Amino acid sequence: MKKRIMGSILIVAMILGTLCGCQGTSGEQEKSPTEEAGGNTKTDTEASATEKDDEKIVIGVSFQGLSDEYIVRLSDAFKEKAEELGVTIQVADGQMNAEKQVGQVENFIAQKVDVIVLNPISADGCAPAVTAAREAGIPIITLISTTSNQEEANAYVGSDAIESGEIQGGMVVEDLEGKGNIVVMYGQMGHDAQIGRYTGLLNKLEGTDIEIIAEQTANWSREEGMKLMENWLTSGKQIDAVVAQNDAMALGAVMAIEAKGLTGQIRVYGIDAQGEALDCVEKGTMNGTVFQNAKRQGSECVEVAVKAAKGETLETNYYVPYEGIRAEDVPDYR
Amino acid sequence: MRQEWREIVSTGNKEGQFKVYVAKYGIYFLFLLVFILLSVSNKAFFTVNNLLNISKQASIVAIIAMGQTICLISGGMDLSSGSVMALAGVTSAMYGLADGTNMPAAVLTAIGVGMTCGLINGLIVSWGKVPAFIATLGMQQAARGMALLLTNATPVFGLSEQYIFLGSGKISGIPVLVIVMILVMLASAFMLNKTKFGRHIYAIGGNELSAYVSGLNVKRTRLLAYTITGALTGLGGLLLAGRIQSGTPAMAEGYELDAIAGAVIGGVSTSGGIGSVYGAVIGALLMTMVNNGLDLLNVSAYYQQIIKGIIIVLTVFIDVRTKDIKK
Amino acid sequence: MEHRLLEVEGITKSFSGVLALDHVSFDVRPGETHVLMGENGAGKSTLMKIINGIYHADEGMIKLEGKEMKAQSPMDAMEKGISMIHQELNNVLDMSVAENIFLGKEYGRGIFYDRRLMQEKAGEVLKRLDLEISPAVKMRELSVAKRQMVEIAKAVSVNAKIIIMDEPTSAISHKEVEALFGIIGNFKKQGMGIVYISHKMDEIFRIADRITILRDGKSVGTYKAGHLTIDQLIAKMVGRTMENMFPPPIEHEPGEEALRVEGLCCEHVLEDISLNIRKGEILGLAGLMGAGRSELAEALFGMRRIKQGKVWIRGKEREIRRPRDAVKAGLAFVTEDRALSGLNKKTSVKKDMSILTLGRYCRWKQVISGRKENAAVDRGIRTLKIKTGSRNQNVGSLSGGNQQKVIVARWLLGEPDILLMDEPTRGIDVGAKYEIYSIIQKLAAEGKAILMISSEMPELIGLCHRVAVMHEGRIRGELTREEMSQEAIMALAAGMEGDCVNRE
Repeated sequence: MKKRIMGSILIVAMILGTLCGCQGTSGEQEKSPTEEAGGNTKTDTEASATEKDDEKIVIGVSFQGLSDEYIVRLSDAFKEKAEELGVTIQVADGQMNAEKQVGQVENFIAQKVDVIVLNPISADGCAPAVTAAREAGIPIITLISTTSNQEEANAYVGSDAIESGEIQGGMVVEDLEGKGNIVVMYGQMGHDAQIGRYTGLLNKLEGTDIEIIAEQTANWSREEGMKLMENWLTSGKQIDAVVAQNDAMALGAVMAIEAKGLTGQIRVYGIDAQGEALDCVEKGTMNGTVFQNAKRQGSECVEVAVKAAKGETLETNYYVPYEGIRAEDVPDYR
Repeated sequence: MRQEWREIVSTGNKEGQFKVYVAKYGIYFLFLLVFILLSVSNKAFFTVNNLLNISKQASIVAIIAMGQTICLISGGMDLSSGSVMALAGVTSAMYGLADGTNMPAAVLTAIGVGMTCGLINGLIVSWGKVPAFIATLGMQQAARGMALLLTNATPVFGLSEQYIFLGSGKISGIPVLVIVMILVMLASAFMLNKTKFGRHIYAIGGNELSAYVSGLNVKRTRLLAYTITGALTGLGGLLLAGRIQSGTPAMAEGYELDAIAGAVIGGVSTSGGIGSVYGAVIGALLMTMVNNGLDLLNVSAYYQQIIKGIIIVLTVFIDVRTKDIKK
Repeated sequence: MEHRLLEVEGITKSFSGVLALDHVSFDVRPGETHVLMGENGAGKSTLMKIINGIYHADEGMIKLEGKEMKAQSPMDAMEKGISMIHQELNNVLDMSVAENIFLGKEYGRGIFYDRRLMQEKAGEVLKRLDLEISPAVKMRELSVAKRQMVEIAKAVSVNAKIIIMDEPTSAISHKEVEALFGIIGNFKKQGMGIVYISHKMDEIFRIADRITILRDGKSVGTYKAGHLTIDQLIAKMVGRTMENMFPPPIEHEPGEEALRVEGLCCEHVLEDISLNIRKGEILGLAGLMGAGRSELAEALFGMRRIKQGKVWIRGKEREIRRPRDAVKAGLAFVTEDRALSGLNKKTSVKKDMSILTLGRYCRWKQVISGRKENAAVDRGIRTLKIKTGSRNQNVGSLSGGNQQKVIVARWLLGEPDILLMDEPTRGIDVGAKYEIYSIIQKLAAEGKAILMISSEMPELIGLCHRVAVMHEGRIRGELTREEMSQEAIMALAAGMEGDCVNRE
């Protein structure tokens, strides 16, 4: 009996702990300052009709995982824009788990939010969430990645993964002047971005004399990217460039190359434009990265969501273009 | 009960010397076999550079695997290693930034954070009587959450040269990582084999009740075992942050499983009481070596995962079989 | 009269070469209570497990109503008409009474079952037994006796012809025993056969029609209950000769008091225990299984919470809360179950033997000196004549007797004053037993105080200076060497107030 009580207490403590732990980044009801002010100020009640509407709008958003730096930036932009427009948002952290995201969307439906934004971790795994929202008659918008039943969703806000691969591939082709040996570091196999970026790269390599002499996954991880590069470097093959599907892996490759004293002899390309990668591009240890505009994606998505909540007609896709970054562009992205 | 006894006893120790030999050194034979195979199939494999590579890449996993070994021998298990490494890595990286670096603080923070997490694990397991699997799973979640919270999911980068030296430096041609790994190995082996405390770890893992009846302080021993495991985990986090030149809250994900696999491949029993740190190091080396060899051969990631899975199960299968013979 | 419900003919069973049952036969008639008696380990449980389909006999057959029957499992036996009520109740505590009664044979269709129908049927069964238990109530909420009744209801629910009861009264009160006997009377009237296993003499003579006595796996005979006296019964149960099983005693005078216990109580298991042992004395502790002997040793060694009572060691009052305290106080405890609490089979002879005294071989309190440790272990191997290839051999690969010696050696290296030995010769062969006896005698001659628990009465009589006999958590009496006989011990162990009173 004593054991049982102890067990229960522990579980409760753990759950509370987890909830509190998440509080900082997710789970909370973000309230706009105007709403928090409540009816204290008369100006609020006298505000214009549209503003009032905005104020009442509730957006439920499920991010694929707030342990990823990019997604955190995206969610920050999202929150900022929501605050600016004075709409209420409910943020859920999908923790890289499709099933959790489906559950979160179901919860939003139960709470009767006005519009749902889904940033799916998996095209197939999250598809039921879109269907559920559609059946409940709540508009659903996908953000930066799509689901396999995308046609059922009301709109897509984000970028085209193929495009980023094409921009990156374009830089590679340009620098190598259409000739040479490259190695490719994939993200997690089967991930939408992994497939899209690869397709884009191949589109650009077609018809050139650039050959992929080795390809392998490093699971988006810096340490694995480093390890992989060390192994490739000892294989004795002539490598002209490393194409990494994200900056973390590219930075791993840069470190391996530096350790071997080969800096400058092997070109390195990433995607994401994270702070450290920008430094490297500026220094020349990396030759290019691709900027995915998290800020614009996040803010545009809120705007689209508000439109959806008001019942305005939406376009199918709202593309936020990728931007290739070279050393000279770096200051613009700080 | 009585009958079972007779059966165990009657199988005796009459088997040939050779089988006993294989049973004891099976993993080393396997290691050699894979080594020769890879050397033959790829000329880039058997080069000084590549061998240094492998040992460097294996070092951190090996250190974590040794921590796991201590924990497993005591009859426990630590699923929180990866997350605790991340937490130790990011907190210590905060003291290792290029401007205002404080190396002693960075090192002490990493090991201190690891020890604290280990101590908490130990307290929950030995005093709280929560199964190790659950307690450390909780720590896995909590520590990762803490690391993400402290950094807002952003890597801590721009580390000082001294800090990076820990992960990437060399002392007369030998990577610092490898040196630290060897020191840890010697110290752990000494602790486990030559000290009273080490023997007590084996005793509580081998038969807790027997150890308790013999007047051993089971709880304290278990607590200390977890704490030491935590300290090694913290050290691993420090080295990993040094190696990837940043404290990343998402780093070392799944490290605990690699480490447990390494330990188990090296002959450490998941039910406690059996194993050595040498085995764990060999296990970690074996896995890294296979990974390295397959990368060199440009084998697809899918096949690599399959091969890794097969190796883990196969070595333990062989181990269980040969151990039966030994009995 | 000629009609026989159950016939057991020439059942033989051995486990890895050890004969557990040797051509045992008995039969049960309709409306009869047939009692099976015998010492612990005489083969009663094995025999019942064969009838119930848990084990399979090597030889012999079982006939039910004249037809040969071979039960494949307890469930199979139940379907054929034989139900068994085990000593340890094994009902599912979190299920309802009805669910327990129909466990494994639920009413319903497919994977669904009909709760209402089951409760109705269970209600009928319970009513037939005059039991006031609601079929919907959870098992956990019932008293042990009521749970036992549910077990009986379970047996009845399948229209059993034979009901086997293995010590059904060991956990229930006097009043409940009466209720049980009432039910048994009913069964007899309905023409069912009862096989009843018990150690309690008074009960046996109240309900038995016939008694079959087992000894060392053999049937001593079947007797009408009225034709036997208690004394005859006991004599037949233990009747064994002692010959040269024991080494000659070493003459010495016991010294001053080493251990004294007064009024020791432990919740549920021990009641007002008082005893004392002098240096150089071997005190035997006899009793049936579950009488509280091991529990007493565990309490003395700090493994059980003592509710009341005092313990003096070498004249000083000591409080022992955990084994560590006991070790410090100079106690040693060779436990009953080597695999469970004795050996660490995953290690070598050396490491297992030295674990207790490791501190003595250390420099700076922690660093082991191999030389000192090896010397101590070798001394242990030598003095106890342990047969092992080397001190580094795996301890699990030794024979049972040698494993036991390793445990004894482990304690002796600690130079204890008082040894508690719980069934020190269990599961080891005759030769090894003799050696263990010699060791015990030698230790006593060296002035150690020894408390020896044993279920083998000859062993106690052959070795001990005095024997205390326990029954249901109390010491029923103490016998001096002159008073000791198997009959006297058995009488006390069975809970009878004999004329042998503590003479101290």
